[in-house]
Amino acid sequence: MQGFIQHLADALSLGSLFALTALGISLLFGIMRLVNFAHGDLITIGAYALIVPSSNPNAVMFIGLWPVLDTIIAICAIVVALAILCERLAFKPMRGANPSVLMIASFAVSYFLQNALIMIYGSRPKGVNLWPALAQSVSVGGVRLQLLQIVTIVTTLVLLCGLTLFLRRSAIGRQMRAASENFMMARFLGVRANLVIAAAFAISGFFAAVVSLLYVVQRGTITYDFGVPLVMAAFVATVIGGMGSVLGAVLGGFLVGFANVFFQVVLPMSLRGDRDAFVYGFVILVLLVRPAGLIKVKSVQERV
Amino acid sequence: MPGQSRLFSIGRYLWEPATLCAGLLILTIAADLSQNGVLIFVATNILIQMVMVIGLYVFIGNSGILAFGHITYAMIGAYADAWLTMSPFKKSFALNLPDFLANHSFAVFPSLLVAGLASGILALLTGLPLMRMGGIAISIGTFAVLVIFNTIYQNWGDWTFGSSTLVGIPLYVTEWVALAWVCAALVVATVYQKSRFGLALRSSREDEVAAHSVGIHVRRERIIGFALSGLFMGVGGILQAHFLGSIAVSAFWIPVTFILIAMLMVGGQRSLTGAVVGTLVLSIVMQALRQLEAGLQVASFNLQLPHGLSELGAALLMLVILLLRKNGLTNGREIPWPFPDEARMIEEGRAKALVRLAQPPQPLDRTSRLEAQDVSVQFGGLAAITKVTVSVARGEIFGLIGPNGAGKTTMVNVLTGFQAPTTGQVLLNGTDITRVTPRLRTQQGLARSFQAVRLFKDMTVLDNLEVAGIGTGLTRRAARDRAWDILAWMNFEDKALVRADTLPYGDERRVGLARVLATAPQFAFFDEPAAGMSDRECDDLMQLISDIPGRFGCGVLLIEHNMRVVMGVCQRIQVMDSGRTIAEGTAAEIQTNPAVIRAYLGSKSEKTYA
Amino acid sequence: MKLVASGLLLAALALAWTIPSSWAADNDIVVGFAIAQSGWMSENDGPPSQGALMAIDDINAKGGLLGRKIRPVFADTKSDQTQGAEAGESVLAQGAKLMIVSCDYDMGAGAATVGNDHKIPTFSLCASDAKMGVQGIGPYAFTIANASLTIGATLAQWGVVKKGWKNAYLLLDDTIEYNKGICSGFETQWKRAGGTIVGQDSFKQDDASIASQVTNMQQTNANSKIDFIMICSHGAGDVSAVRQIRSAGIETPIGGGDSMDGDFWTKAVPHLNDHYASTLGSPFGDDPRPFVNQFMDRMAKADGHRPPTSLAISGYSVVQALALAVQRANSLDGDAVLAQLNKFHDENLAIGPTTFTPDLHINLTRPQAILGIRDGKGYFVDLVQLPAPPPLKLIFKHQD
Repeated sequence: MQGFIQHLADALSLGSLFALTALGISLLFGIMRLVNFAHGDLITIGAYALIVPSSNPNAVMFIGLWPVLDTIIAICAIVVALAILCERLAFKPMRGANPSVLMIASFAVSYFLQNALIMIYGSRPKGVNLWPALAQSVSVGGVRLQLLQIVTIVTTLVLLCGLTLFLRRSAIGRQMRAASENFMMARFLGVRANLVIAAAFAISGFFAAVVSLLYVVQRGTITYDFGVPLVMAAFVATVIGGMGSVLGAVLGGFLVGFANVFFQVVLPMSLRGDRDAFVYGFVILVLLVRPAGLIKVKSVQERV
Repeated sequence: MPGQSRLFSIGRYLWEPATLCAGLLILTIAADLSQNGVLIFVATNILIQMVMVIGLYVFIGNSGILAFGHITYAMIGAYADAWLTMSPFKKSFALNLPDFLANHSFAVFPSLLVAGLASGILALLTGLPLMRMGGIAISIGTFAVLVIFNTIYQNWGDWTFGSSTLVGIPLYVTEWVALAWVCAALVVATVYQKSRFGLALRSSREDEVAAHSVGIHVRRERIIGFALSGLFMGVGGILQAHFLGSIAVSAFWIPVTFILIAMLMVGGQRSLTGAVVGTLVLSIVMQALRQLEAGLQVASFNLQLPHGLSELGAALLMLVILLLRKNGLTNGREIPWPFPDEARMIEEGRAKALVRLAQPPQPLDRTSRLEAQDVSVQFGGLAAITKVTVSVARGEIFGLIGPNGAGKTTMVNVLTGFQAPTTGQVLLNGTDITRVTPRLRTQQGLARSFQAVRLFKDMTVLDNLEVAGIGTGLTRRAARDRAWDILAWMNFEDKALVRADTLPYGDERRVGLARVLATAPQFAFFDEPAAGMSDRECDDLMQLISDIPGRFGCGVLLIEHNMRVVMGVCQRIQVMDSGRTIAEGTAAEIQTNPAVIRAYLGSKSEKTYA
Repeated sequence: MKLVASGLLLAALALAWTIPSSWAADNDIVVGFAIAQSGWMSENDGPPSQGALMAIDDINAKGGLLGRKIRPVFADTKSDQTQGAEAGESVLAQGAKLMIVSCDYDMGAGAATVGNDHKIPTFSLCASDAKMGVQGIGPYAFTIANASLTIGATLAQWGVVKKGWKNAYLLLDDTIEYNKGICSGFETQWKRAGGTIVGQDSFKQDDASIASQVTNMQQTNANSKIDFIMICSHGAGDVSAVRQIRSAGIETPIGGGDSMDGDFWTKAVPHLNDHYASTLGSPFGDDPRPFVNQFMDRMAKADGHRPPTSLAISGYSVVQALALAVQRANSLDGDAVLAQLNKFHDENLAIGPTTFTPDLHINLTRPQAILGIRDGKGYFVDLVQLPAPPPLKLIFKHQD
């Protein structure tokens, strides 16, 4: 029983990480039908921003050494600024292009950012020790919990509630939801497209920054493709959860996290190397049963 | 002379692949003449990539669906071919294959065919479940397939050598072999593109709903395109294996996927020429940037970019091109036939059509009937239609009118299968077809137009009608004949070769109407065909519609707001308001019905329409 | 606009055509470096290449090879296999008679295949895979390094015999073959020396979390106390695994392969103790072999900071080996040089005693240095040599 609770805790925290990443992606898809592959690089850059820019294999902490709140604010500011910069330079000029073109554009942005990171920081993984206290474990009734795991789960729930409230109650949030339902109509009704889209990118950047910090504490080393595995899982999570639905993204994230832990535990040693095949096989299964995802969003369905 | 025109039409048919192949031949010869080993290497590599980009075009270009996982099929083909062609000696060090493969090796050409076929078959098998999904789920699904195969191959040590590079693959792909395969790929891609399968798939790309409505089996067409493109990828992967002499699972992953897709996008996703152009442009630019990284002697000055900058440059170039030309460098267009002969084609089409039209139409069965009985449709708490019965006979023109929001389009949706009724039945000649899909209903003879018209924008008017013929089971030639017939009947044949997205609004609606007729329906549903038309255009339209039952042998149900048209052509009219039937009868009866007048104008006015 | 674009494209085309061809009538001995100068592999190839260039400088300072100067030429593989093949073609086009390729079998395979096909003696900077040799790429391919099995086996030998440990737990990152080789060698030797493997698990380089694996490990530990945790991994995944294990409060000694050389990575694991890596030598200046320490000092002077790992020595040794063979053959003819290389028996190179035979182009029993970490700082522990080579059948395939 204890083992089961332990694995449950592991699954919840892994799922939270995926869910947070998925939240950042699903907002942009809902409004712009943009699958932003560069999201992973936002996460990576958030992590690199903690150290002094240099190709020295010995990473020197910089922003990471500031007081906790200052670090959080600084990293969020940097990533959000970068997200908005990407939007201005790459995506705004392409607004209205069909989704495949937007996707490739985001791929190009991602390719650019990753190679730029290698050029600036070198390709060797950098050791980073952010907020070491969080990485410690506590034992709760025989179950080993990392403080980080608790923080991740709580953060996910809090931010999910926060985002939902924001979308429902605030003026910009309502405009975002309108734009998500029907972009053209929303514009006719006075919703300012530029503002809404910039806000969406900013929120997306904020979520990327949060994931970045949590993941750095978890992993302890950063590489040029730091954010990529998270984003790969998150894309899949967003689609099985239901694209355009905030709740769906979170649900999908937890589902993928659970699937990962489940197969890691259940598969015999000889098959454990194939774990990812099983997880993605599971994903295909879900998509076959519910092609539109678990939570269907009306506006994404076509009207005859 | 028939022989000459036959040659001419073959020339016209293969014009594009022949031109592209010739151009590539010239470039290959130039590379060869340089005697420079690196240049020849680069040229061969470009040609091999081109085979794969052409493969991507076959599916992505024709279906409009971005497939992320295609490189999987290149991997499957490459490894299958390695199992067949590697020497037993080399295999013994790396692999643990069953005796049949471990102790034999086969000739390269048959092996390529077998392995390529294997990729195609695997693409078919994986495509079957994938195409059940819709839109972006398919894209993610293809990515999931990529991950699954990548994971399996990385762990299938006995057969694939796991994550290690498999070396010792016989080298035979020279620049000429690669060129030959590119030319072959171009021809096959062209044949597919011009076939009924290519046309059908493109129609689903333009408007999936409209494609369903003219009987196209969208899922099947996607699977066919997907399987064929998987086969191309397989051949490309095999060529690469025999070019490098080695393969590794890790090489068939996201970075190369991105580059290949980018090549297609840069050239123009929707065009075969785009696949070739994009590959060339992106490869040349990247090679040039790499030269700069390696250092270039300009007079006494050494020009050198820091390493890694060529990747940045490539990414920027992609963004710039996509920004400036959203449809790629070719703008989605192919190489045009250099001898302008549109006038001749139109004349030929018209002449043949007039001959066919001169024949008397087939007699029609006036007892054949389509009915919706006691149909109610509820959306959540809202009742769109409440207990409405509609009945149309073949040979009659039936009008369904009412104020906006009355439920008329919803009724047509129910009759044609786009909307399931909450209660009630739809009967065709007494048979219950309530659960039948729109596509099958079209094949049974029910065809509808759309309020939003939904033409296949990036196709000519003629092609728009041809798709409908193909959807209802004709060959391409027969469908084309039928299309010309309808155009000639409508006096619209002069615009046959015009692209649908350049048509003025009124013409669009006429083509929408024509497309319905191109399915040879038993019952045709027209949703506001007269919208946006001038009085004179309306007169023409009324003439056409009146002629339809006699010429095409079908029944017509007309939704229309223009009362002149309704009163002028409809023999029977049913009036709906707020989801209920409020009146039924002839034009004269409806015009003087007080309930109808009230519904349209409100209770204050009792003005009648003349 | 169209004109400008066409003009640019033509310029690019012209540029692409200016691919260098061989320098005619040149008396230098050209050594081609087909290595990763960009992309993720570049930092792995960097230090060994530097070491190789240092060796070239040393030889040239003493009058050159066969009385001729050695001139290095370069081509970037861009950490890509196809580009690797192109890089191989490129250095050959620049006149290379000897080739040096990436410090990795997969990354070097492209260029090495080209070299082998042209009968050019080709050395990988430090690939630990026997397939960079006769049974893989071909008879002209060599690697200067120890087999990955040796790397793992040596650590096992030290653990059982010198430290007296009994129970080991294997954690394998099965993303790449190299890791599988390390674990395979470790497991075989641990058992040979009298130890027991009490459990094992696997993970992937990119796994966001190994919490499940840690849980499994703790459950095993409850039944049979683990003395040593062997992590067969590399790069960020390895460091992250160490971090997550220590964060879980597990203080058991941990082992790793040569990707854990140096202590630049220990920032990720605060106050790390009891980590042991099996590698070439100590970059900390405390190696018992004076040449190693001098070499590290020399590199520090050239770079401005201490080398992160000891792996640069392998690059130096590659050039030593090639020069020795060319000297003895008194010719640059590929087959003649090859014949000399195949006669190497315990040749004293910077990396240690080196042996090649016509059937084996990798070393199996060369001594490995064990480096320890104490409070985040690295130090030399021991120099260990295997009493007997690992099983030959494991060297080539099924390294798991």
